[in-house]
Amino acid sequence: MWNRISVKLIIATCGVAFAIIAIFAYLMLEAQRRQLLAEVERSANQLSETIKSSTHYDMLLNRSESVHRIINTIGAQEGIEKVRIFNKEGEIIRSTDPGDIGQMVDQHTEACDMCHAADKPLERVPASERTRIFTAASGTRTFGIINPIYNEPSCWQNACHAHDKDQKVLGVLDISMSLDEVEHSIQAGRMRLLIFALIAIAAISLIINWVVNRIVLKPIGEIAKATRKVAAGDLTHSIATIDKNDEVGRLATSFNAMTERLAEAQRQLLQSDKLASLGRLAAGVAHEINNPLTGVLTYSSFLLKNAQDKPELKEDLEVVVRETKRCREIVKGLLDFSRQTASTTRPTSVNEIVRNASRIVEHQLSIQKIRIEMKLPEEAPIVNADPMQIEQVLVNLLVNAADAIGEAGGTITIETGMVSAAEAGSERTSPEGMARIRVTDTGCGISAEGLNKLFEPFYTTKGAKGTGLGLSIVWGIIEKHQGKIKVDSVVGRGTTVTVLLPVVTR
Amino acid sequence: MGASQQPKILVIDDEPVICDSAQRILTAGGYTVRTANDAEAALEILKTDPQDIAICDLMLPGLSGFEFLAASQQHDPNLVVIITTGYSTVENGVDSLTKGAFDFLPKPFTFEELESQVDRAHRFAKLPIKQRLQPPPADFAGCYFLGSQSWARPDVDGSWLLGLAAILLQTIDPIRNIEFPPVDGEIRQGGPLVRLATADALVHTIWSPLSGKVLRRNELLESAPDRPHADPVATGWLLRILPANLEREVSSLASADLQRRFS
Repeated sequence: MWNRISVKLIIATCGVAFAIIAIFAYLMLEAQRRQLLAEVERSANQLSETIKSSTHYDMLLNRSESVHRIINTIGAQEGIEKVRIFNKEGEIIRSTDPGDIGQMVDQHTEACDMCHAADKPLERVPASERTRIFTAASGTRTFGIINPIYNEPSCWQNACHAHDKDQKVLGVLDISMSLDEVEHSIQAGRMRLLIFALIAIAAISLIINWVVNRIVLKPIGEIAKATRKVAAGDLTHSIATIDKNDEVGRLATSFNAMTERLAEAQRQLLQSDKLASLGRLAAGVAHEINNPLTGVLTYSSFLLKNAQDKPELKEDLEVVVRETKRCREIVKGLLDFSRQTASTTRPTSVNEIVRNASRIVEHQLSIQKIRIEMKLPEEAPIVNADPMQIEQVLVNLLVNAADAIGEAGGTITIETGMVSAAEAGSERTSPEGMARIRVTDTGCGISAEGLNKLFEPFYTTKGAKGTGLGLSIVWGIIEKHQGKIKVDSVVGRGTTVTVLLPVVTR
Repeated sequence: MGASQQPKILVIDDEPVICDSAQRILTAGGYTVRTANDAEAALEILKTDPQDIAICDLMLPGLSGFEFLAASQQHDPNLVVIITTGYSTVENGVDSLTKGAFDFLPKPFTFEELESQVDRAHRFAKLPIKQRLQPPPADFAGCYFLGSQSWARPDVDGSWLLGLAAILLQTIDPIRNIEFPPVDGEIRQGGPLVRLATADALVHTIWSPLSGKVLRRNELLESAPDRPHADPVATGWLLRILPANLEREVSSLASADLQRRFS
């Protein structure tokens, strides 16, 4: 399961997606928090200014009841934890929490520490440094802002003379606001993003799984199945249902090409194997038969010589000698077939070979009313070949074509040309391609069954006229030249034999 | 070999029918024939009873025909050996002739084929040893020989001329008729080159020194078939061919015909 391509791909992609979403969520939530805090700070500041200015007159008149009411009214608003006023000594003189009043606050509590951190207290503090966030005793996250109450002429000029003229700061107004709402809002945002991330990852997984299955796994499964079939020896199997345009399609195409070539190579191997073992058999049989045949031939020819004056005996002995000589020719054919003569190849024009071969059979063909049509290009392909042997191949093909045409007369067409390496479809081709010689006749054609046996030794349709070795020898010669031979035929219409030979590499 | 004595032939073959038929035919032809079923037995016979001619099969149990050929040449250089085989490939033919056999007789053979080869071998055996060891006459300058059979000589245009070797001409009667291979046809080294019908009614099959395509026959020989006896090379050549496998085949040929090489 963990080894499957789709799972690996999903894990990798989801990891990346998760990281991106996490970074994005962090940045977004951070921005949101800052914005919300700024909002709280702004409203707290505004609130403290409002308290300061609305209590200003009551303070001057020293109407503490009124001050207290205002603080309480404002402090009762939602989200406001506490509103407190400290005097210069740190005593809480006003608070929304009645228990606080009269308590002294240490200079190092979080509300005071901002100004009193140094030995000499700061008098002017910028707004941003007057805020603080802390966890209140109740456990809620709290935002605090202090607002120093500065000495003004109206304070020390008033009749009560409560404040000295030299004092700079008279006291501090401290407002604490609950951050619960902010925390909730951020929590909700985090939750939304988490859900979004999970849905996105699930969606990505599903899509990747589908896509991988569709364009990779299924076709690869097909190919794997085909590979198993080929491994089991079924070389006829080919992969059919794959889109040819992507890499997997190309893999399938080359897989098909590979099995085709394998099948062809196997066919060739089988054929050469068959020919080789038949060759050995033929050689062995020939050797064994030649000895008894020698006995027959020597005695019969000797008797024939001594029977010159006995006509009735002579005639019979002549038959024995003639037929034994015929046996000798058959055995000789077998030996020729099995013989592996080393041939010497040299660059030869295909057209020249064709012309020579047709000259040899010309006379015979004209008697049979067969016309030879030659389509030879001006620039003939040059092949590395033993011209004698290729000529022998062509003579053989021409004689076969003539036999297929028979007495009625017809046409044999010989064409030469080039085929590209791709068209030749053979591992033997040179990069320049192969030379092609095509012999087409208008004869009786060959049945599908006959086509299969065509190159088998001793297969013949000519009865006593042929030994059935001609095309086997042809096959052997073409094989030795690293060439290819192919026969196409339609019964009643004619036969085309195509010979491909590697061209000379320039 | 005294003139009064019958020529002696040793037939070596592991097939009794061959030994029997050869003995029967050759005895009728006036030869004294002994037989052996293997080369070791044959060599034993040669020690006590020297022979004029040996007809030896190639594939024998124990020593092969080629080994017998080498051993007999050492033992008695005068012995004329004819090699015969049922596995009559041209390679075996060429090998036999280049290794010193006088002739090569592929099985199955007719009475006439055996008769003509033995006749020539007999004539050769009768040649004084001095004459056998002479270098080929000056006529044959530039020729390559396949044993005592035939010669090949390059011509100016890249084609080669083929003809009859000097020893062969010394061992046959005047030629009455020559049977040529067809023009445009193919001949093979070690395969038949021509058949010569001679005045003594024998027909001799001559083996070809090279493979190739027959370009021309010597038309002069149609009216004067015995021309080679008078002028074996310049006007008595047989065929003009285009060699098919020249380099390899020429290397197996010799610059002198059989026997003279051993001098």
